[in-house]
Amino acid sequence: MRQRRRSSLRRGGWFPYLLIAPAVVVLAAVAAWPLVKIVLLSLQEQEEGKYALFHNSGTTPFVGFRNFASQLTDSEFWSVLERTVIFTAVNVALSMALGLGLAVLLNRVSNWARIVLTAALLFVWAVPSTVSTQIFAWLFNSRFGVVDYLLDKLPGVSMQRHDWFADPVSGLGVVTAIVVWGALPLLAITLHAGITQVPRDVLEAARCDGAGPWSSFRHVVLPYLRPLLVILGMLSVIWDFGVFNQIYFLRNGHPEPGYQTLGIYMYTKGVSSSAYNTGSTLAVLMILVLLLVMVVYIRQLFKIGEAE
Amino acid sequence: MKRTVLGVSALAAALAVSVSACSSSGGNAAGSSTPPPDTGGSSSTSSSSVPAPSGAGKTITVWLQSDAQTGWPSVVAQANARFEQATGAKVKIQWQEWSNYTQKLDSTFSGSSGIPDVVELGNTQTASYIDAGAFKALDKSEFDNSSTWLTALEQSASSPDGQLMAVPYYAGSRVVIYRTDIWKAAGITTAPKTLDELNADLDKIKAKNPSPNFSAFYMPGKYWYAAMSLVYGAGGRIADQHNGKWVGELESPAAQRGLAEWQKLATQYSVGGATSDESTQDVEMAKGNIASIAGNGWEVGAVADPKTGDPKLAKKLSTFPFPGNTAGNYTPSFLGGSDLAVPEKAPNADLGAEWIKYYTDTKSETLLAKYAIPNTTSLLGVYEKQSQANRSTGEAAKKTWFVPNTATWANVEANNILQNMLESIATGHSTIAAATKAADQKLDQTLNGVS
Repeated sequence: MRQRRRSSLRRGGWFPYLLIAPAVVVLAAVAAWPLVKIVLLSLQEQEEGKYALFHNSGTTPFVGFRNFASQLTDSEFWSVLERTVIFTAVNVALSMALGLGLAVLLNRVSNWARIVLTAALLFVWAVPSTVSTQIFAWLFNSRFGVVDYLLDKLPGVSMQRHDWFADPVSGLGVVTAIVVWGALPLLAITLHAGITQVPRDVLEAARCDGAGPWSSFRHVVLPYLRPLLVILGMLSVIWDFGVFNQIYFLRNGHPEPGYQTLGIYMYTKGVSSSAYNTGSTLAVLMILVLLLVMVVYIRQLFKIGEAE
Repeated sequence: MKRTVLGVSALAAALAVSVSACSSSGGNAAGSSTPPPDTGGSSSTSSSSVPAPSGAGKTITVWLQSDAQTGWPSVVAQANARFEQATGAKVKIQWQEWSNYTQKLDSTFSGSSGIPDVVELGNTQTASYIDAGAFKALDKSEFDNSSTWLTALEQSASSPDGQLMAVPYYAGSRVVIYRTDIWKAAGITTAPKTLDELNADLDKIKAKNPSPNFSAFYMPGKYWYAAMSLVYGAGGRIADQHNGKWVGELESPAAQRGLAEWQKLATQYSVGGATSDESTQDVEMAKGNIASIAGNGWEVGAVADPKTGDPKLAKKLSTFPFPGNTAGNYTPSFLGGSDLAVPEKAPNADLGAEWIKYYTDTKSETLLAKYAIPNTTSLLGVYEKQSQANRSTGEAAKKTWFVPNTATWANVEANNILQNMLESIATGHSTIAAATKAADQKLDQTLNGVS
């Protein structure tokens, strides 16, 4: 009896589909359809400027991969891509390292210190990136910025009216500070939760076998954290690759050539120039690059997993 | 390009005919006798021989920027009331924001529903929409004061072949805003009449205020409206058309002279703004250590605003038109402003055009002149009477320059071509000659539609 009811439930295939239908519909509407539209737009060309767009006329023909060819043969695209990849690598490395450091710290300190630290981290988390960017912009302002003021107080340092944004590398350094600052709460709190899940007896066994703090962290804690690190690393790559707000608002809506990362470049070339085909092409390229990085990254981690 | 424009206006004309043919119940007499030239104001549009399109039971949607909502809501209200009484239609104002406005217009115009009957556009935004056939052609003679409209506004509202596609609404011009106390302390009692005098005065102010954080004239490195004013004042131009092709002309000796004048302000008299734009200059002036800025008339209020500025400065701020090479010959000011247009796909296009008539007629513009530069030179007197700052900006509005009037100009702004050039000059990363050469190349490409 019991056996039969269970199997009939399993075979009554429509019910699970009914349950999942609302989610599928919502996802299709907000994620799949725009994606399809972007891919279509990237294969089309808007002739006669915006005229075709406004008049639903047939002058938006499919042009195959011509848009892609023109981007891929443009040296500007490649320099933007290079800048974006370096920016992402630096940001992911810094935020993961500092996040892990903070997580370990959270694990070591006394209870009240942990509560204070966690509360502070949650406040950081709650600040929208537009707001934090505005605050950092004033901190690094060359006339009123507190950063220049404090650095100038150091003996032998002359930083009065130093313009952090005149050189794009130092300017992107400020962007990195904002991005890492904003990424720390999630990383630190999640990794801290991960560390608390490492069984005490395993750590004790390691200590009995003569492992010092560093080698027990390296050989016991880290392997436990690996799945978490994989997920957080992947998410960080996705976030930092697409950083937009921090750069856009720090440069007051007018990022200079040295500040063009892929997201900004796509917006300037596509959206603000009303060249939606170019914009969509860049968006598709961005997705492809990200997928490529992800595939390499995930395969690498699977390999490590199999080797052990 | 030319063919497109012709096609657009032909299509617009054809559509205008078909629309008026369809609206039989409205009794629209488009193309019939035009109303008498207006002098009396308010009642001219409603009492003219052309019957207003009947709008009973209809509601028109108007997109206005929130400047009007905060600045002159009463002007909007009285125009709505008169329009509603005359036509029987209702008006729904939907307040807009400038940021990302063109994206909103793009997506709206490419759709088929939710299209407003009237839209407000910045005068540097109109050209690309006119080129794309986004607006209905309008009859210039149906609007008040159309013979005395501010030239730069009317240019931005017309297609390259001179057809009116939008109606001038209001404008703004830039002047020098200065701290009377700091200037007086340096021994200066009269406003400078020429650029040489300005520089001499700024030298005195700088000598009197040796603090390293002090700017005798704060000139942000990305302030392209100010920089291009000096370019035009020196007899230069951003770009010009030669045989149907746009050519960037910032390399010309005149333009480079103007930029050298600007560079002096940005590097010798200004401190710490090389990579900023002008958006924070009011807040910074309110903080002190700035003796003068170039700004819109309303920025006087922003510097002395109790919330964002310093109210103690209210009595210490004054203005004068930006001096030029010779006395009385001002440096031309960039005339920013807005136009109103009827979208090509507007559901109630006739009523939309009718509403614009009321909102830009002599009565409305006279009321508006208390708050902003009206669309016609005939009402500048009303505007200038309001305050000292208005006298300067009104004066400045008589000599203005405007960006190259072409659809591709929007992309020059989107790609920050001028701002990047200016920043590289202000930071010293490149010389004027090298920076203008690079910018001209980009202008050639962008203005001629090569992306």
